Amino acid sequence: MIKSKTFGSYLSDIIIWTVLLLLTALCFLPLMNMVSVSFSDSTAAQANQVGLLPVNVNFNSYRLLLEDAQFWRSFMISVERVVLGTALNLLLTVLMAYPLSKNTKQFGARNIYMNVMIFAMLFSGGMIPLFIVVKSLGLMDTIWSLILPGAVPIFNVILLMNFFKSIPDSLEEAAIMDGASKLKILFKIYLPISLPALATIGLFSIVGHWNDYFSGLLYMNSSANFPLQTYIQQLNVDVTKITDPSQLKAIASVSNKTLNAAKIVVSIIPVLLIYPFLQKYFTSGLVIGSVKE
Amino acid sequence: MKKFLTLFAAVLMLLSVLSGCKMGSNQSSNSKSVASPQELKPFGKYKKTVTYTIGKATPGIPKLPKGQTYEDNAYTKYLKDTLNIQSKDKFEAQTGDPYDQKVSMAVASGDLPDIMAVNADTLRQLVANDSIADLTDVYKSSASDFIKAKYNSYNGRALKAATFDGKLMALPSTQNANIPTMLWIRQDWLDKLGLKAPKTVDDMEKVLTAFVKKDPGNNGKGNTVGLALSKSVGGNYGSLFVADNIFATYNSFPRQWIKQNGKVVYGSTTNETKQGLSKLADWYKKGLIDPQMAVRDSIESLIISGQAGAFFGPWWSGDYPLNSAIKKNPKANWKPYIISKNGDGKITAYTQNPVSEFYVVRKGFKHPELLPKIASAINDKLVREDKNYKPVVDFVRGGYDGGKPLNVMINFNDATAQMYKDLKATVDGKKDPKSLSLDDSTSYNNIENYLKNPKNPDPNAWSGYTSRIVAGKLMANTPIKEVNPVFFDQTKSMKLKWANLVKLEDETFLKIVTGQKSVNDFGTFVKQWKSTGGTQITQEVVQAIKEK
Amino acid sequence: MWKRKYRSGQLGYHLMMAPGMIFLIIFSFVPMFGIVMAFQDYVPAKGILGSQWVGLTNFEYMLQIPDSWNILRNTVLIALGKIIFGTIVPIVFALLLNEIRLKWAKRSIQTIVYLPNFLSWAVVAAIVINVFDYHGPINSFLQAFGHQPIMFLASNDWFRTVIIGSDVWKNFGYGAIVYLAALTGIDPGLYEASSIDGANRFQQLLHVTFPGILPTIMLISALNLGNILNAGFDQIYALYNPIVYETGDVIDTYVYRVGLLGQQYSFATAIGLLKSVVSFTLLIAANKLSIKFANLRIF
Repeated sequence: MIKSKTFGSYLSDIIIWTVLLLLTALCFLPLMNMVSVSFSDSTAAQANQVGLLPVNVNFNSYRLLLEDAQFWRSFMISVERVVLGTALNLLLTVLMAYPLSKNTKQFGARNIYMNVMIFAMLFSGGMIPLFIVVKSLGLMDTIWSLILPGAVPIFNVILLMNFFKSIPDSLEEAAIMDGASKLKILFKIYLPISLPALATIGLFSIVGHWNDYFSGLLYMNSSANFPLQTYIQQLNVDVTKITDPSQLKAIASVSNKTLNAAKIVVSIIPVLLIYPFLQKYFTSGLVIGSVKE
Repeated sequence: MKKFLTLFAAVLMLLSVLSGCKMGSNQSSNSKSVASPQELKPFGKYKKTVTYTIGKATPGIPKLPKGQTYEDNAYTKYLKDTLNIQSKDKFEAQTGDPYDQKVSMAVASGDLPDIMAVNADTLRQLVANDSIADLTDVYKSSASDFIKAKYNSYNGRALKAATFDGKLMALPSTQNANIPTMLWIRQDWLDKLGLKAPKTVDDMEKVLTAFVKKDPGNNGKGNTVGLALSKSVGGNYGSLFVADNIFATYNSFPRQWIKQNGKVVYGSTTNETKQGLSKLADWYKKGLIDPQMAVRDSIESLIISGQAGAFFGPWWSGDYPLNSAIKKNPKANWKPYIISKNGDGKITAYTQNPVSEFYVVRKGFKHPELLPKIASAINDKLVREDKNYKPVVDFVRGGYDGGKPLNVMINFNDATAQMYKDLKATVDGKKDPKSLSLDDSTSYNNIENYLKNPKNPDPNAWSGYTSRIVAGKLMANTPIKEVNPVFFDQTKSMKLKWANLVKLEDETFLKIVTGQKSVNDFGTFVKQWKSTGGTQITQEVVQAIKEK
Repeated sequence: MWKRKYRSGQLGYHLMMAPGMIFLIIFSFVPMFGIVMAFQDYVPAKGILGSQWVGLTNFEYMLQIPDSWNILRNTVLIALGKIIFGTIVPIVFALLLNEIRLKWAKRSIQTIVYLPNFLSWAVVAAIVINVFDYHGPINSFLQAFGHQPIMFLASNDWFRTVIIGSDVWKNFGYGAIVYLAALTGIDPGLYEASSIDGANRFQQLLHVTFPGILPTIMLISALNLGNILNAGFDQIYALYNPIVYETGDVIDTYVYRVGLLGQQYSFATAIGLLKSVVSFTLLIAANKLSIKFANLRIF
């Protein structure tokens, strides 16, 4: 794409870069603040005096964090959940998106399934009945209670289905002539050219599993089994509700702002690492280009 | 295929529905204890280990010594040693919303732990549904005399809250008196400006004005906050940052159901409260109150950073948040004072609900006597006879938390005043330090440390001394005219209407104080409060009091 | 012959749907019997079978709340603002980023802007409050130009704007991912063709890039429409105060405060049901309109 650049092109480059860098800076600030707090003196943090740079740099919170066995246990539970949960999400999403991407002539019951799924996406019976179902299936306190109830991410199914729709039928017809089965067509033809879409919904699943704290709270009876975000959620305590001196110890143990910040920073590192890794699947022109040729 | 699915779904649905209402049917069986007479005694040890399941309320982030767990720690070991009982956690969750969530899930799925803590609302439900055991007999047989004496110090108010149709259905945790709250003020600022300690509301206004105008803390112009105040303004018993002291000088008791001239009224709607609000609004206008009180995220940060010169707080404010303030600036000399109407040091204050939470035993559990026995072991034997039990001593000294399987807390109503008297007597050499309770002896060490080096104390020594000797003395010596609220419960209409009335109240209070509404709008507020459910609820409250 | 093949094809499709449908039946449809709680005075101890039927009382109560219209208006205004700006900003960002050729810069920017999504509102709220403090950057900036400082979070003129703005800021990087993925699907041949035709960058953007991601835009906005009654509980709860109740109190914060007085599952379920009905209707309508006017079936 070598072109002689015009003045207008330079100007638009400058504008684009300025806007992007400004937005990036804006998004970097809160994280910067968290990192600074985690390295600061704890009273300075409590006094709300830490901005973008740490005050009296020290590593105490990270030292304490290393000793916090439950934090790391929860961390590993979250990792396990992300791996298993995302795998199951992707498998089911792919399997459902393919038939749904067909029209009613090709797959008669398509619209019925679709409406049922939209209904399931929007309506819910609330948490008590779901809790009772999970409990009566014997899933309480197991990793499966965090994975199975959300096994079908309907939003992702709809996204992938729309992506599959954009793949021309001609590609499939040749394979049908060769007598390939539906599954084979899906896995051998559709998936290889859908990597950017799969990377996107895969990322959504990973993030969804990593960020969710509520199902951990609901389905885990032993706090030793909490996933990371459920553990971190416990750091928010409303001090104004405390009226009894016996609760003082509890506040003292959670109001350690610097340690809390360190926990949050460490909890973000995995998602910080996973994104660049997935980005390599966002290669331009991969999809439709290969189809059209 | 489809038939199979439908069948599967039907079975599941049936299962779930059934479990939702299980407890009503099969658990009405007799819940007489199987314990022997010896085992029924408060401190009688079981021959065979009794295992019981609990709903465990945790402090959130575990703060246990290495190697100990919620089910196996100094306290569970103590109970094993003395009573031969072992707890097992049916569920664990952080005190507050997460714990309440777990309780309602347990109740909804009909799978209760043997013993757990519930709030007043859930207690009523469980009683109405006949799912918890009657504790009347086991309380008589298995609670120690000391525990009974502690409950009796509330003149029957504590146990009455857990009594339904003459049956004791729960053991409540008590909330002992923690009034008066005090005005905590920067003594070093007062000294620097040559001001005397305030005694009346007017004195206080002068001091705050001087703080804000003269900036003794060198915070820079416009950065000094006179009074740090919570956005709830008032009406939270014994808590930090509310102006209950100011309201009380006008005989106003916001957010409390009180009797005024023989009639039951809601304290927030009285004319006296209007006067209190108008004083605060005046101060806000003059810049004496934190101008950003409505949006302040962490009021503590104002105090720790040295921006604020005064706040209202209970006696333990010396421990929190002032401990951090002293760490940050050892020269920040915070002192508590009493603000009274005439400056004579006599104050009026409302009392609180004597109970906080209720401990209940599942109907059908074979050992209902365990609850009073555990309560007695923890609140009597462990703090008196066995107070030198090494594992627990190490646990407390190490600053750990969350060990007790049940946080059932039973104190004398005057426990705080007694604490001061004991510590003072010990400091004066009239009492043997060895006779102090475990908590008190930890405090005593801090006080000793402070007295050895009062010029330049360690922050923990300062906190121990300031909270328990300085503020403790004020608390024990201030004459209080007590106003007893007449109702702490919930009525039928409150269930749906109260949230809206509270919204109206919060909005009006904060807007009046911050000047977004005039004090004259108070009348409109009262009218609207009454017409949107207040009148009806007041009638229900009157009715409920009659029936009690 | 043809018929058999068609049938066996249908079976294949059904079998592919089956695993997912089983999960949906167990974890979505079976629990839906809980919807009956909306018509009961549900008491957990009594279970669904034992609780008292109250008909439409829970729904009637919604209308009796003196400021139910106010709460509804706040909810819709905030949610709509978030939907509109939360769609536009990520698209603009994705299009701008697409113009950048430096690969490492592109990836770094992308990664950084998606990070705020991972901080909970409880954490971000503290930062937002500091930014809008009297002595914070925004007010300092205003004062430098001779303005009076504004207490944004306690101002009924500003509160919704701050809520929408901070939400867009926190989420646009994450929201842009799907558009960035869509951009990779555009045929590079189209760019070459248009540049041979003499189109400049802006014209390419208008005639190649934008139409290329339009289906994705329509899809995402339609799905977002389902959130028209979700204004974002965590965020508002962390940022509001009684002064801004009149502009900031939304359905979810109200339900939460009602719930604090005791476990009011029935009321919450009734509200939830109402929200679901509205979302469902809107989504179906959006799909119909999209088919009719853009010949694009969303689902």
